[in-house]
Amino acid sequence: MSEIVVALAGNPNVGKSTIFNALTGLHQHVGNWPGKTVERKEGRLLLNGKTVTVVDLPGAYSLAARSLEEQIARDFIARGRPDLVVNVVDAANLERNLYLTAQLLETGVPLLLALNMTDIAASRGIVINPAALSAGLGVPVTLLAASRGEGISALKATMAEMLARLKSSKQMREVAA
Amino acid sequence: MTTIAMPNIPFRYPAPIEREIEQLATLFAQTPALTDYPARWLAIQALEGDEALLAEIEAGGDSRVKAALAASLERLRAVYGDEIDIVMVDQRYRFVHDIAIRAVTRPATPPATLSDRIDRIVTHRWLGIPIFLVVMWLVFKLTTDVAAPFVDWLDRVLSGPVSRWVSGLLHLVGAGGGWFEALLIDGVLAGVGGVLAFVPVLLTLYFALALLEDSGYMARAAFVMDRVMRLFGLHGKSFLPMIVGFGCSVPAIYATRTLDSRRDRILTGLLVPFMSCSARLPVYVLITMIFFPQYAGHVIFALYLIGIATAVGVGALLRGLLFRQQPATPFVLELPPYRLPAPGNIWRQMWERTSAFVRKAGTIILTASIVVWLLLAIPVGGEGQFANTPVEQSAFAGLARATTPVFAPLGFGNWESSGALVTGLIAKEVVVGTLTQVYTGGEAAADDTAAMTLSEDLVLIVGDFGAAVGEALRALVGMVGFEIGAALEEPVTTGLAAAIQVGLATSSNGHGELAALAFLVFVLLYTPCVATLAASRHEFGLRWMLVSLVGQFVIAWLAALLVFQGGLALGIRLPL
Amino acid sequence: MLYQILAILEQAEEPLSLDELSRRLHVEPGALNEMIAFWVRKGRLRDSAVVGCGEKAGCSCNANPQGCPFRHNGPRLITLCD
Repeated sequence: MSEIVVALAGNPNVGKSTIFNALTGLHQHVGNWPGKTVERKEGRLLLNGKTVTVVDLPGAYSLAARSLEEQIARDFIARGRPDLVVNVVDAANLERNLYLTAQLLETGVPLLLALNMTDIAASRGIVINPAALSAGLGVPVTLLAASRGEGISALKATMAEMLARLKSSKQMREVAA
Repeated sequence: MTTIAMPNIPFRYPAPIEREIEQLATLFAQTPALTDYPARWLAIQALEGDEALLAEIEAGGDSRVKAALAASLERLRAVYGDEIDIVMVDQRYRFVHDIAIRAVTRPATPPATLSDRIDRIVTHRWLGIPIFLVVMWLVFKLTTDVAAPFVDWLDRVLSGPVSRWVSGLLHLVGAGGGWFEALLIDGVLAGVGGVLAFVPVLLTLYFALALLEDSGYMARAAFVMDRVMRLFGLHGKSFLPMIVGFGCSVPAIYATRTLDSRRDRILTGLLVPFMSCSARLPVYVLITMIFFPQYAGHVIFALYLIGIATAVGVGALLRGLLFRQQPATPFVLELPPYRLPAPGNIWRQMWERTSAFVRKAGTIILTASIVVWLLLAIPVGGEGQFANTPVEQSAFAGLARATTPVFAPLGFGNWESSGALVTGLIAKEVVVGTLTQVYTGGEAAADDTAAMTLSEDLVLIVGDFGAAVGEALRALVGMVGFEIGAALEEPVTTGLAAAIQVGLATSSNGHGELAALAFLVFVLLYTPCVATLAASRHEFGLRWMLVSLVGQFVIAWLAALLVFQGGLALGIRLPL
Repeated sequence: MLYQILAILEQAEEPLSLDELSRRLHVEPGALNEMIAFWVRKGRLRDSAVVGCGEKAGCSCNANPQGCPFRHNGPRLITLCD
């Protein structure tokens, strides 16, 4: 059985590392991307009794590969085809963050939008309608305020649910084939 | 025909692009070397012109793939020209924007931050400009009133104890009394020291400028002044080099590179020297403290305003005469939130700029002082000998007298002032250095008869400094609006001040104050220093440098004439 | 979206602050910055900061290792390219 890989992708400074740490706890491995000087963080997480590998991708504003970070993120997603990409976005700067989301959607990779920093957005009077967001993007959305530790368990639950659904549809496709 | 079933296509590109994406995606999906990538994604990237991926397609695709890609791009170019990628990125932004509009509700009136509230007043259509002027006024009030006591102190220390020590040291090693002592004391110490005494003024100015830059106010000033600039047919961006010009004209000339057209660059480059650079400030402080001690801050502020007004006026004139009118291109400006200036930043800027000034004193000004001393030491006519000749009979006086007719109608046609203006072309601070040299020549030597011990000197220095701190504090408090005690400005009575006063009174037939004012206006506007001229030549060529050189001289001469003769005609007596 | 930025700049009578442009387009400032960066890459907008002292300035600040101390990074300005 091949391992399940989930990648965390997002712009720089959206709280990706905080979420990564909250998900993987002490089960982390820090190294470098092959041949690159960019740090590669990988950790393990137990979801519904299954071990999931979580990879924290370098922060990127787009998949245009203009920087080393963007190039690594792009290669991992477009070529590596993780089972699921959790796209962490800053709720207070949603429009800028969604550009990367649009590009992620174009890769066709299964996507989950983790709307982080909802506390900061709320303090600025920004109200976000997650249902409209989810409908517009066609992907599930979960809300977090990771710096306060809020929303992590909901994120885990949605991840588990999505992975289970993806697995069954894959099996169905395989059966059909 | 097989279509590649993508799980969900979130948004579509305009039909012509979408057609090509689908065709290419189908082909890519059938090309073994490219199946690593999601086919639709790869097609999108290829059309968007991603070079790395295009290279991979080139390397991995067969001739059919390459031909199809070329044909697709050809067809799209016919529709979109070179803007295929722009159209695609735009489509992505539209998609994102539509979702953001639907999913995000921002407060109708965003909570106004403190920055916003300040900006509402500071960048206000009508209040903005008066506020800018008030800020400038405070800056110059600060530089003059607060720094002046320290200038006096430094001047007393340099001309008193330090001169005595140098002289004493020379006597100790047996080199006293000769031309070498005269060179060191009347040449170097008077010239360089006379300029260095103004370090407190520059420190304060650089402090104030750094405060404005670091707090974020400068961006607002540029925003506000755009209206003024454009009122006179100048580009709003021209104001930025001009702000730099308050520090030094040389980087200001280079800062014109940010302007888009050569016309704007040259025009702004010609106007930048009218912004009073920090090197001119010592001259203002010296002269105003002698002639208008109670109004020094006001006079200096007025000089800066005259500089700006002249620049704007000359700019409007040049626009009409030399340059074709062209519509000003608007710009977008980032107004970063105000912030408390970081002491580290302020200190670094103050230090760097002041040390550049001190370095200049040690190089250019030192050289100029030595040359002036030599010219003062060489006797022409009379029976003086080298280094022991009355200043009136020196080569310097002889040369300077040749230029006096030019300045006579302006009220300062004495050879001392004329000579100082000529040497001021090397660097504007040299005006101060030369005045000190010609007026105090031979005087410093008299000082060493007053025998004082080292400890007496030190007590004097420290005591004086304490008094200066007290005066500066009183001035600072006075700025806020509380007058403590009586007006403390008493007429400056040092030998230099008295000599300058007598000199200008004589040259102007008893209208010394008017002549001093004309002199200040002349120093403000006349030909820029050689470093600025070199920068001007480097950036705009010899022709424009000469325009700057001659033009500014003529403008300064006319303006000083207007001040002096106009003042005489109107019977104005200064101070009012 | 992208073209609107150029259109607004072409038609503007007065300088705009970045915030004002963001309000007019209803685009949040962060996204607007990315769009401007795109146009700068395409050579259609110029994003400037005041340039410092030149090489052959002949002034004493040449001796300064950090460059001319009077240079300061003026406010960020964005203009159309010809």
